[in-house]
Amino acid sequence: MRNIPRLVAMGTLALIIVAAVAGWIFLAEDAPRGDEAWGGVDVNVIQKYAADAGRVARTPIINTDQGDLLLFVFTISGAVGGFVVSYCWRKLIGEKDTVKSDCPLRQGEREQP
Amino acid sequence: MKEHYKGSLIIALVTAVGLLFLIASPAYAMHIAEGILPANWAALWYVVAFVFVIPGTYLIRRKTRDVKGLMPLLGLTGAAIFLISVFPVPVPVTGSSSHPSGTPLGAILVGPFISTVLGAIALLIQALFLAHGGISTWGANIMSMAVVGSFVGFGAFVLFWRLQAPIFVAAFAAGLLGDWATYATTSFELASALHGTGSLWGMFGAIALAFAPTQLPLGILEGLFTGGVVSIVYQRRPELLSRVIPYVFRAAPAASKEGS
Repeated sequence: MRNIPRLVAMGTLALIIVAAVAGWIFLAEDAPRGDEAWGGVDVNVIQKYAADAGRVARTPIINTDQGDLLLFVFTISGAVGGFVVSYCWRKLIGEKDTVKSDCPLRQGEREQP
Repeated sequence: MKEHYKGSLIIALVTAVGLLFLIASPAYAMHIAEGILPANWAALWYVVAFVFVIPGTYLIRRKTRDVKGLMPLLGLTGAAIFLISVFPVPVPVTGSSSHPSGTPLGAILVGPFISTVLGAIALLIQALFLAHGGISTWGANIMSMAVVGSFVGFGAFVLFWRLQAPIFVAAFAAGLLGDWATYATTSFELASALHGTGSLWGMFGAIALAFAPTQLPLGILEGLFTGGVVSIVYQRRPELLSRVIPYVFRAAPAASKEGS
């Protein structure tokens, strides 16, 4: 009986997932498509409906969407972001053996060197 | 290989794969682009968004003073939100691309208000330098991705956690529902500004239905990712979670700890 809330939660989630997969397959044929294969929903959905309402996207204030400039900016930002994630992950998780746990959840459960 | 290097290796591999995707198709975003919203609607969403951003900024100041070692967690969360929310994922069968939000994960790690601020910063950088979103639509994009993504994700996590779901399942629900809620909000923002003399809810339904074939599977992907990351953090450094949002994790149900 103690597991009933847990079963209800997991059953509800399972139903949602099944409905989502069914919806994905059922609706895929009618998905709005742009001129390019694998186009983004910003163009295929947002800009399509905006254009129908007479609104057109303006050029960004700093327009990096020119030739390979955007590739460059994406690569740099991805590399910097990846470095920050990796560095902080290592500080938080990788160096865990040097940190003494004071967690109220699992005090004494974790291995200490 | 020592165990504590495995996490770093996984992150490095995920980042490398992410870069490959970014290089393959750089310009696809979910954010509302510059100029799409009329000025009055853009201003309204600025006001609503900053109702959440200002307390979040205050919380960051207070938490960084009170919680020791919070900065690496903020750095990790902010960078993760930035990367995840410019990570275009091609969706098979549908034939289009979109990307997850990252803010449900951020909300579980640092709380919804702080996650909102980190999401807002990520969106600002994307609008300024990556041609993703826009300065005039920053408020609307903060509202959909940072505010709604964080709060719905956090709410779903707390609900499933209280229902004694395992940590992975609770975080999965957060990622799934946070992602879908983000796109539902984007649909509402567009519909409310652009429906003209037509029906607001009719246009909202049409836009949401257009998002659905791409976003339904992407929500599941975001759920899996969020569940995986939160499970790893919970297993290896549970004190990270309990320090930042103690009122959730101090009430950890016994069944969840068993199931994690």
